[in-house]
Amino acid sequence: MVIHHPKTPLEAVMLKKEKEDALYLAGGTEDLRLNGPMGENTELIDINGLVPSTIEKGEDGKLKIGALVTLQELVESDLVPEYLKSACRFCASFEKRNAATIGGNVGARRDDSYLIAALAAAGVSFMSITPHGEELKKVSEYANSDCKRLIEYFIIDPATKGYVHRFGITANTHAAVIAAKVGDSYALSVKGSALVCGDTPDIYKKVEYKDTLEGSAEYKKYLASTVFTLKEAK
Amino acid sequence: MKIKCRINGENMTLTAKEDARLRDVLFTAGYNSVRDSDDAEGFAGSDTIVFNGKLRYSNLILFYQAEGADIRTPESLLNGRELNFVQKAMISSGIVQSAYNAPTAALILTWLLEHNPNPTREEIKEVLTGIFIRDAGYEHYYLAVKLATELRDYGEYKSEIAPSFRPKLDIVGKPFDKIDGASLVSGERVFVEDKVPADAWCLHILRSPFASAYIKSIDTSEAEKLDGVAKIITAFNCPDVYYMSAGQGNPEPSPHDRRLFNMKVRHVGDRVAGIVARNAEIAEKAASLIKVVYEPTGAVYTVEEAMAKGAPIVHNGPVEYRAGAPADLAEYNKKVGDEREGKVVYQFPLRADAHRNLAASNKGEIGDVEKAFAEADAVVEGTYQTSQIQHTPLEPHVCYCCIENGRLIVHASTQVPYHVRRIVGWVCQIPENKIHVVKERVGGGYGSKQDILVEDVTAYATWITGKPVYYRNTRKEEFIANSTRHPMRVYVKMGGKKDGKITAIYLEVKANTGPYGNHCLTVPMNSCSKTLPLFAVDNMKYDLEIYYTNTPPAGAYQGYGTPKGTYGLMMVMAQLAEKLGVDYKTLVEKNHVYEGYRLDILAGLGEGRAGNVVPVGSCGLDQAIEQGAKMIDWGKREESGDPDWKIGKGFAMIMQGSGLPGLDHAEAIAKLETDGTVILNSGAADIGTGLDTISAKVCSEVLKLPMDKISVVSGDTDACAFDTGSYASSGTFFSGNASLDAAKKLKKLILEEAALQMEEKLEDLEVRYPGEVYSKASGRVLTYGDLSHTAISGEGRGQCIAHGSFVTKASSVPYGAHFAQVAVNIKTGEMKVQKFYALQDAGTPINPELALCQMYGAAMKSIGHSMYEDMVLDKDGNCINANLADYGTPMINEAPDDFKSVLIDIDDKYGPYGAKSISEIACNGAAPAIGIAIHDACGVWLTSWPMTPEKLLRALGKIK
Repeated sequence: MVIHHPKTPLEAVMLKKEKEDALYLAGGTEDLRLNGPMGENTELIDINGLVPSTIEKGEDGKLKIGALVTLQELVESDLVPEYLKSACRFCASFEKRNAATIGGNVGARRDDSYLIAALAAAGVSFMSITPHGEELKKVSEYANSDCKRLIEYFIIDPATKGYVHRFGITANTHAAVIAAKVGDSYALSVKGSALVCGDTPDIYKKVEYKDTLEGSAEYKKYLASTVFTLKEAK
Repeated sequence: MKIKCRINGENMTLTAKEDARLRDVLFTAGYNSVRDSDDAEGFAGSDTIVFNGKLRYSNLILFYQAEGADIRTPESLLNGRELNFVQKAMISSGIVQSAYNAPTAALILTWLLEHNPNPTREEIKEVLTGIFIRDAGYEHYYLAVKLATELRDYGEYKSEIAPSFRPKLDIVGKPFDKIDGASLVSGERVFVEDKVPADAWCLHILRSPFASAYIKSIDTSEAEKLDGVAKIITAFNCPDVYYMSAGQGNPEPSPHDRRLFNMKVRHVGDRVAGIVARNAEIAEKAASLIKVVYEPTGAVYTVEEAMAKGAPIVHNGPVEYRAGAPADLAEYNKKVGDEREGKVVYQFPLRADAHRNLAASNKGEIGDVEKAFAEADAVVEGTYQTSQIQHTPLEPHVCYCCIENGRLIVHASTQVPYHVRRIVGWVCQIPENKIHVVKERVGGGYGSKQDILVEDVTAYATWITGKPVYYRNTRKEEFIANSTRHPMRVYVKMGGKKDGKITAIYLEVKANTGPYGNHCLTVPMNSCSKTLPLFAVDNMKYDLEIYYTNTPPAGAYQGYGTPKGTYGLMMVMAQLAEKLGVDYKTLVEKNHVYEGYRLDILAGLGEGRAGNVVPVGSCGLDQAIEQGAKMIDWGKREESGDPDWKIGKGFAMIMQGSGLPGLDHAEAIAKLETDGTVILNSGAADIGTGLDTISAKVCSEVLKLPMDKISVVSGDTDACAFDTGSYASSGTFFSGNASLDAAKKLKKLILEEAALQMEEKLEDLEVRYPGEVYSKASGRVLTYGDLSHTAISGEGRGQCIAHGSFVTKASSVPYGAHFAQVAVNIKTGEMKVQKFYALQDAGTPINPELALCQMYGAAMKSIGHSMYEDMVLDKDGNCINANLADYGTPMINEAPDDFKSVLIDIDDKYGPYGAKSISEIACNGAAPAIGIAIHDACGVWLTSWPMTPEKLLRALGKIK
């Protein structure tokens, strides 16, 4: 395993540009786990210490959540909105939540990401480092892209209210469907399919459903079409 | 690279590769309590440490990341050899069972109490979300925290740990710390992996990518050229010895249908070659250089495929019989296939037809079933399918072998040390006196370590190379190359009268034994033999067929086939109640057996032999049903307050056995040592359940000797006498009775010796605490220490040593009832077991706190099997979810909100101090109890495992 230790965020980004298959290493719960994304020759770019790991409230009232803030730190924070805390708890293991980071979870862009649906429904953007400098990017756009930018911090309005719902065989299996509604926006992460967002509950129609271990395409479509009609949605 | 860090308060410099896993480095550095159960999946939590103040998985931390870190491992909890208050409370609460990750759990709970001195149930649950507990369930972890806080605050426990039984006894039936609890919870080096020297050689198995294929050729020449490769074992150079992997009494009721390596591979993951190399890296490199040419053949994966006309045959070689060969065998064997098929050797007839994939079968009947169906007011039938389930022990299958004094030493994690010795002897072709099997502590077995799955090949590798060899299954190999629960299709037909009397039951079982026939008869047989004898019904018939297929192998699993038979029978019984318009509980009560009921159905239900027809002995069924019904408020409809969530209730009556009367055999040797203490050498294999504690307790009770004056050495084939092993719920009943017999005989020897030394009449003497002989006539006292010292002096008559044994035709059957309350969301299919009450008649529970935890653990497993767990194969026989998360392993979030185990107080005639078995039976109730509750909630019957939300939505017609 080759591990790079860049000294600056830009150096990390340039390394990633140079080595397409390399992975940013944040908390390690995704990169380092059995059956994770690491191939035999995958290289790691350690970003620990390069991007923020704190939660700050700006003068505009918005939260600036460092990419290296762990999911458990989000759960324990008094500043973080409840729907996001609930989404963090979709990572059911306490030990994993102590290591997994918000940036790492979003950066992995998994179709069963704990957080992406919640952040996308909340319209959250993040500041990122690119070869061309800092840029803001919406989570919803990033989730379905393959861009190699380095997430620096997320900007979240703590006043937003919403809820999330996860469907999985157990708390620790990969989710079949994760749904989020924040304010008037909706988002769905469907295993085997892309993230979809929108302003109406019928966003489920935009998904191309596939059979996976977590459930049949029909099952997931049904859940996606139903989840926003549940009591909690009302 | 080198790093500096602080471990358990000590500044350390460690050296390893930059990308090494911190877990591996810590283990190698001697922090053995930091274990690995998931190959870095980030699931099981055996690798948990405190890393810079946070609980983290050390498998997911790379070595270089520990530079400057402050690390705590479970070793930090000890003060010298003194346990901390959490460790003590964990032992007392009964949760230290197989204990592979008990030290880690102690670290987690200690960390919790350091940060939150009085945590709520939810807060305790939160920190346990990252640790997988398979043996004890999670329920008594809450008790452990409560006890720990009491010990911390008051210096003693204030809460009741478990109920006590038999007031006239001093130690039996009372909570008492498990005798190996301190060793296990402190992280002592008691597991196989702890015995492996740093220079041990590695065994790596090259496995088949095909579900069925002949091996045309294997070229190992390039691999053998590598430095550090000692030997490559294949089908072309292994002994031509046929055996099977089941650890059963000899002659086994399983066909000998495999060699160490075969010319035909029969499942994905089957053994192709074994590479003995200096280390894993070399072994894996060598494996990559082996060129295998396969000739794939057709495969079958289900019973239906295996039964089909013209189906590919899994074993199409000649069939032999050690005894009872049919007259037409020569004719039968004319139709054999390729010579690479090998052969199948039955020890005695099992009504098999291997050339039709039929590995074994059985059938039987009492009364006139057809007539009784015709006379019934209502007849109900149903077919139920169970899935392939993995045991997922936290400690995978491991073995370490070496040669000492010319003998083969086998350090094994096994339930059956004597069967290991026999089979290793067969494979290596050496007599048993040349083999020493040491059963180390077993980090979870649940039946899977009743099979000899790794000891055979590891021992052979050592025997032919002379090298110390270590083998350990990966987690993936645990799924694909291990034993699993047999998938079964259970068809039940049941008829009854309007007065609530069942007139007839027909039970048809078709089981999938996978590629080999280990346990092929005995496990499926239990789906009949441990279910039908629950029913006081005059007309019953069963028909059992077991088929070979090309799935990952099946084998023994806690409960054997009983959970499957119970699932089908109780589900149909509930439907019959509905059809007859009779309350289900009433129907159960009207038709279950009672003490004295003659069990004619047992005549055909032996393990390949004639069964014993006996009357029902002690039976706590009525009490279990009545008490459980009260606890769950049977008959009362619960409302959720949300129209989408419906709540239902269900229950099942259950039974098991206590060993195999007429087949099992246990021995123990009790020695009075020179200072008056006792060492009990028990042939039993304590696999974490507290069997050694049972042996010590019965010995203490008989000899009136304090528990700390008794040590138990068990499962060591040199030190101890024969025992068939820990399976079929035999431990307490057979091994416990052997220990009791040894203790009674030692007491007799002590009294006889005392009579001589004291010059008193034998009838005037008695033993009393704390280990002395008292004369009622003279009032004189002789301590065991003085007695023994004199006995072994120059003029003494010798050490007092007693040899106990136990065999029986008697049967002590545990009974019980499991109740479930399940909430069902009819819109999303989500389900939650809100309440689960396990009530069991275990006779006299010798270790009540351990018994309760075994019930929690087994019930939790069974909830997992019923609702979440499932090995999924693709069309080519590859298991596509061979890891703990994807497989659906249940954790604390899946535990019922309200979970209770209750011991029904029943004394038994035959068990040691009235004890029966406890653990296996607790696997049997969840599936039907939950299935019936789901129906009660929303009106649909889920007829296959796992009962998932998707299946529920289909049954409700929400999706097609």
